[in-house]
Parts: sequence; C-alpha cells; structure tokens
Amino acid sequence: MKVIIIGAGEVGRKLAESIRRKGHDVIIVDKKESACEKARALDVKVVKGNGARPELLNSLDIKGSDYFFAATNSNETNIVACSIAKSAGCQTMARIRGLEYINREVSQRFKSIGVDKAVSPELLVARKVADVITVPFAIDRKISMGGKINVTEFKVLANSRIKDKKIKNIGFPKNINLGAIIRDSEVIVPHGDDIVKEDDTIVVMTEGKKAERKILKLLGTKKSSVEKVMVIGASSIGIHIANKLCRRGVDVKLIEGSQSKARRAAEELKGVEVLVGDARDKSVLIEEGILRTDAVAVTTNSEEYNVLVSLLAKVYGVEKTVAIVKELGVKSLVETVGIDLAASPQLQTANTMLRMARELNPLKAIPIHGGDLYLLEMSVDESSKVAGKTLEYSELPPECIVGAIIRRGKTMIPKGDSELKPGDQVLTFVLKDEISAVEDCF
Amino acid sequence: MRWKVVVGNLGSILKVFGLAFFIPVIPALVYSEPFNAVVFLFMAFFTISLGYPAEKFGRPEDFHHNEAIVLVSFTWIVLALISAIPFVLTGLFPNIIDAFFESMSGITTTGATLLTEELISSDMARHGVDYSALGHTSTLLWRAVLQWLGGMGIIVLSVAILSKLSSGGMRLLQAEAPGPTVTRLKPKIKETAKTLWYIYCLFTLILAILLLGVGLHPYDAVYHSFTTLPTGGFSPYAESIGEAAVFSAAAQWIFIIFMIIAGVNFSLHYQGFFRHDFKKIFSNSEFKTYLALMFGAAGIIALIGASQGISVRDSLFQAASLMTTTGYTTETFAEWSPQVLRLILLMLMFVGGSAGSTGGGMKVMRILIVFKMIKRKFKQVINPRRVEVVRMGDAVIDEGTLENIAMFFSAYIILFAIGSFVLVWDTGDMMTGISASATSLGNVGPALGEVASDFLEVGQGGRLFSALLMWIGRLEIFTAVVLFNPSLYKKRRLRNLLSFDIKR
Repeated sequence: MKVIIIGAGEVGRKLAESIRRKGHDVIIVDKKESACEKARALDVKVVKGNGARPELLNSLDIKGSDYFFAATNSNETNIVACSIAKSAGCQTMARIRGLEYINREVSQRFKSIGVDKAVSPELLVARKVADVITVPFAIDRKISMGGKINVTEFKVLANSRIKDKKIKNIGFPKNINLGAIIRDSEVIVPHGDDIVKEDDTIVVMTEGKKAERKILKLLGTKKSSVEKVMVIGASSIGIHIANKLCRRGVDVKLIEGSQSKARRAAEELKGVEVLVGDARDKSVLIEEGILRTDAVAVTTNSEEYNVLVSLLAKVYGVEKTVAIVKELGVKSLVETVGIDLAASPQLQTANTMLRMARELNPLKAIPIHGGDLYLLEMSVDESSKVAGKTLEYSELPPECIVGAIIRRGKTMIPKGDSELKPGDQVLTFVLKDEISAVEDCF
Repeated sequence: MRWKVVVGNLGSILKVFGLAFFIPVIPALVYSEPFNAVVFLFMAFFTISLGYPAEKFGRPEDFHHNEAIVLVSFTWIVLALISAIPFVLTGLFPNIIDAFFESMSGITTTGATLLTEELISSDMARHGVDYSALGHTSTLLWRAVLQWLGGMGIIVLSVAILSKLSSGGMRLLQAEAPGPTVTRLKPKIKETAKTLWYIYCLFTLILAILLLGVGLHPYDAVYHSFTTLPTGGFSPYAESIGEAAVFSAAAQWIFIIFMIIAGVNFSLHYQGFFRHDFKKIFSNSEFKTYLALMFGAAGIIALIGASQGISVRDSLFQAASLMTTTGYTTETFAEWSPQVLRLILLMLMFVGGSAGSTGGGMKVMRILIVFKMIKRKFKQVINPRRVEVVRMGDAVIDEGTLENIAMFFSAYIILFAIGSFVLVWDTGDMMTGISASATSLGNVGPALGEVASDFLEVGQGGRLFSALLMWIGRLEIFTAVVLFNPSLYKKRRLRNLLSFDIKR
C-alpha cells in the first residue's frame, strides 16, 4: 500500500517508521530542511515542500495512494491537506491540536470537510494519564476489545500480598490473567513456579470492574481509587487531566508558575484548587501537601522541568509520578530513572492513528512496556493450525500466554484444557521475537 | 464632553415623555376634573414643544461614553422637575420642594409620599362614594404613571421608540438599568429595549385583569398595576393596602405574586415567555437566592410573630414588599415586635430585587457576589498562592466587574451613612433617620419609626436630601454622581475647538 505523511516531526517520523516496518511504501513531506534531514535516516521517500499544496500532492501521485496522514504542527494545514487528499480518494487522518475544535480523543466531526479521523494529542494523553493515575499501583494501561478488557501494568510494592509468593500459590481469581512480569526492564514470561518480588511490574489482564477490585486487594489496598493528586503545569494537557480527575471524584490541586495561566485554568476548571507557585521550590511542594499526595502529574511545556519535578516528587515519596515528554527517545530513559510513566502526546497520537488505519495492520498488536512485549489479537478460523485443539497440545510456542478467549461476545480466561474453536478471538501476550511464530499458528 | 449632544438627545426623550401626560387626562374626563384635564393637556404640549427646540439647538447624534452617562443622569433630574409641575399647578402640592419630592419618589419608584388626607379612605371605597368627590383622581394617577415609566426606565423606552438613540443605546441602557450588567436579549439593542417593555406591559395588563377579576374598582386596578410592576408602591389609599379593610385576601395574594415577579430579572421572564426554558430560570443562582432570602425572612417573621397575630400572608406580603422595594405595607409592620422582626425587614431593603428587575436596593446578585468574594478572600488569606475565580452559575465573572461590584457595595454603605447622618439630624430620631436613609437610597418607600407611612415628619431640607438619595439610588450611584464631577463643567479650549471643527 502507498501512504503519504505530511509533517516529519515526532509523530510523522514515528508513523513513517512503523508503517515502513510493516512493508508499505511511505512518502513523507515537510517544509523544513532540518525535519527532512532527520526523516532521511528512515527507509522512506522524503520530499521537501508544503504538504497542503495541491500541485505538490498531485506530483506525489496522491490518486494512487491509500492512506494520508497529516501531522504538521498547524491544524489548518492538516485540514486543508486532508481535504485535498480525500478528494483524491485517500483515507485521511489528521492531528488536531488544542481543545477548541475537538472534544473527543478521536472525532469524526471534520468528516464533511475531508478529515476521516481527527485525533487530539492532548485528549489522548490526558485520558491515558487520568486512567493510570486513578488506578492505584497502575503505571500503564491499555484497553482492548473496545474497552471490555483492560491490560494494566501494576507495580508490586513492599506491602503487597503477592510479594515473594510463587505464582501458583497466589490464587488469581477467575477473570484475571497474569501476562508477564517485568523485572529490571527484562520481560519474564510467568510460570507457576516463578516468584513475584518487590519492585516488579506485573502485566495483568482484567475483565470488568470487579476483577480490578480483586487485583487491587491482592496488591494490598482496599481503596479502589487514589484520593489526592497534584497536577503541575496548566498546559492544555494539564487542564484536561485535572478536569478528568476532578470529574472522577479525585481531590485535585493544580500548580502553575504564571499568574495569567493559572487564572485561565481557574476559569476553565470548576472544583479544582488552582495555585500559583514554582513547583521546583521545596517549600511550595511541602506547603501544598506533597507528603500526603498519592500521585503527581507534571504537565508543563518544558520536558526538563517535567522530569525534574517528577523526580522531586519521587524524593518526597509520592507513589506515582507521571511526566509529559515530547521526544520519543526520552520516554524509556525517563522511565528507567524512576518516573512511573513518561506520557508522550506524540507517541499516543502516532499509535492511535496507526491502530485506526486497519488495512495497514494485518496484525493487531499493541506494544506493552516499550515494545518488548506485545498484546496480539488473533482470530481463529477453520484453516488455523490451532483450531480445535486445547491450549496444552497446540503448537503455540511455550513463551506465549493466551490471556483471553472471546467467543460470541463472551470473554473467558482460558486454562490449559481450554479448546480453541473457529470464530474465536484470542488475546495473547507475545515476546517481540516470537510474533511471527505465533502468527503462523493462526 | 459635548453638551449640545446631551441637550439634543434630551430633546428627543422629552418628546417621548410628553406623551405620558395624556394618560391622566382620561380620569380627569371620567371624574369631571376639567381644570386638571387642561393642566395635563398643557403639560403634554409644553413638554413635547420643549423637546423640539432642544433637538434643534443641540445635536441629537451619537454620543461618547461620558456623554451617555451624563445624558442619563441629567434626564432623570429634568424629568423629575417637569413631572413636579402638574402637582403644583393642580394645587395638590403648593410647595415646589414637596412636589419635587413626590415626583422624584414616583419616577424612581421609591413610593415615599407626603400625602395622607388627600387620598381615598377605605371608608369611602366601602360606602361606594363616587371617586369624583375626591377632585384629583387624575393627579393621583399621575403619580402611578410616573412610577410605571420610571420602573422599566424612561431611557429604555426612548431607546425602544427612537431610532436615533439605538446606536449608542447599549451605553444608555448600561447607565440606566439596575444591576451590574445588561443582558442583550436580542442582537439589536432597540429590539432588546422593545422586548423588555413588551414583557413589562404584558405583566401590567395581566395584573390589571386579575385585580378586576377579584372585584377591585377599575381605577384601583389600573392604579395598582401601574405601581406594582415597577416595584413602586404608591397607592391612592390613605390606609396601608396590606390591610384587610382595603383589599381582600385574594387581592393581597395577587399582589404578593406580582411583587415577586417584578423583583425577578426580566431576562429570565424573557426565557420563560419566548423560549419556554423554565429549566434555565430555576437553575439561575440569583433567582434561587432571591426566593430563598425572601421566603426565609418571611418564614422567620411568621414563626416569631405568630404569637402576636402576624399571619403567614402578612409576613410574606411585607417581606416581598420590602425586599422587592415595592413598599406596600401592612397596617402594623412598623410596630412589629420583637424589634428583630423590623430589623429583618430593614436588611431586606438593602438586598433589594434581582439585577435586571425593576426593584431597587443593592440587588441580590451583587450581595451574592460580594459574599463569594469574601469567601475567596478567606481562602487566599489562608493560602496566598490560591488562584480562584468568582462564578455565577457556570459563568466566570471578570475581575473588572468584581471590582465595580465591590466599589458599588462600599459606595452604597458610605452614602447610607451620610444619608443617615443628615436625616437623623433632620428628624431627631435615630430609627426614623436611619431607616429613611435606607428607604430612599434603596427606592423602597416606607421606613420605620416616624416615617413608616409618609415623610411628613421630615423637614424641607431632609425631603430634598431624600429626593437626592432616591435619584442616586435609582441610577445606581455611579451614573448619578458624574454630574458632580467638576471636570465636566471646565471649559477645555482644545476640545471646544475640535467640536467646532467637526460641526457640519
């Protein structure tokens, strides 16, 4: 398939890289030489110029292209370019920044002017951060099967009940399945005799609220939500996170350095305590009660500030810290120094766009923990090798864990003697290197 | 500041106002008062013909902000003066100061009066004595007409009628209308003014029909609908109209309902009438506070006063009357005891009606916002880093408006203090002077002590001063006091030269 991407920033390059890896042809357009230069490192065609110019797009044979992604910094350019591409017959997706135009993470509001899917980076990342914050111990969370199934990364702390126990002795309830253990950034495929240790991250698949409460109980808390959260930085992401948290009944404090920005935030947020102050200042954090805060999200426009303040919050013993980062490369680095989640609007946008471009993804794979582990969504049909076999005796590689089977809309957590039937959909945790081996079985 | 623009526009307003003098001609003819008929016809032609040369001499063109404020402030003084003339000519008030007091009390919808003996007594009404025997039904009705015009605002009326005023009309409305902000009901300011007057007339008509329905004399029905909707409070009766001897219980309940209606923001009535959006009305926080305060106060009065025969109807009637600043009274309210009952009424006078209603006082919205500002200040004192906005419902109120409200509140209290000083000195009685000051500034009408039903106990100087307070209170202080700003009267050569150049 042929794909055109305009805007070779973080989002554009991430899109280009992923789509190229799946074996499609990619053309990327940017008007800045510096951005083009970075994009040339990828195996894609790079064109310098304004992506909203009809002549330029025609010269790239837009009529013969299948997908068009608009990821420049300008909403207007993105919309105009998409509308040209749409009339040439492409599927179009645009990044729409700011909260004025768009009120959902993915909106179809602009369909009539040629944008099939408008994606809001701010809303995507705000949703994710709010999700991660409101579930205690959770440090990352993915949703699969239209929201029915949550895949959450939980941190195991000192007071956890499952600490130092063999997995087979823990007794996970019915609708909970353990997908992986991550210890010192290494993925361990769990077996019955493995022991869960303090500071491990466990990847758990849960179905429904009840299951979530049960896993939280195992992890050592009775309250099903955090109570006090501090959001630092009244950027549009920060405001949105504060708003989402506040609506979920969390006690939110928003700290912002500039008086005028704080005022704007106070106007937009009802029920959130807005304060003016520099969060790098120890006394500000202490006086505003950082010691009694369950989670901190740092959301200013400066990456360095976000990382610094998140680390500071860790020092004061905040259980969960989230920093907003832009550079995709920084994300994993930041997570290794102790910040629980480095959320990147750019990464969220690129991933969401990719997931929505179905035809580009014969494989529905959601990366977990930076891409070492994947959640794979496969369907079983008559010709599948695994059809009609129980899991124990199927050809699936041993390092692959079947998390859930969805049969006629019902979800079941499988055991060794569960049988796979044609028409089933199967969610599996697969290590990166074994994706193709698993694919072959279906 | 171009005085010619002010005079020119005033001329246009006078032409509209002159038409009002035709209304009292009707009772003058019905009740055979030929002299009064002549007086009012004369006044009509006099006022209208005064308007023409003023328009010719001045320049009735668009104005700047300061000219708009001066125009409004000036208009109210001039109209009060002109309206006083028929009182003198018909002989109801031989004294010019008394006549001015009465007309200012009328046009500002205060309702404080210097009349007692000239009014209709309930005995007369009960025994079916013909109103012709009174000899001045037309002059009495003129008081009601004044209140009716002053309630929704003569400037609003002029904007609705005259196309000339409509371009700068928003400034005029802002200067005249009660409350911190004017809600534009329609995109065109002229349509907004028309809509407001339309709703106002509609309510007046409904009230008149209802009063006729419960058996009031047509003259009384018209009179009281003219004085209830503007929260005025004049009555042709010598006795308090809250008295059973004057009006039946049914009529009094009707009065209670319409006083409450008059104290509600008319843009809410618009929502109800034209948009049928009742949810918006009942979710309005000013409206809810207004009702809560009124019924709360009435409830307390009814509970405490039950032992001495204050009925629920009496307490609600009096609370509604004084809070909306209408000023109808029950017979004995000035003697209610314990004294705290009277204090509750005095406090209600300060609160007043809603913003955008015809009521006076400080307005519920301002009180509500002042309380919210105090609450915010408390939080900021505890934590200086705290940033908070003040909201009414979901709407954020900008800091400029907040400052205006705080300043209004302070200025109101200061004026009340000055007024109390002057009037306590004048009347020689603490309660009388203080309540007279509050009642004048809030455009209420009756007060406590010696001025519970009329202002006869107040001396000439005090009467003039009260009239001044009424004028300041009606124009919500800042519009009125611009006339005292000396820089308005200084000749500025440069300005004059400029205005000479612009002249066509």
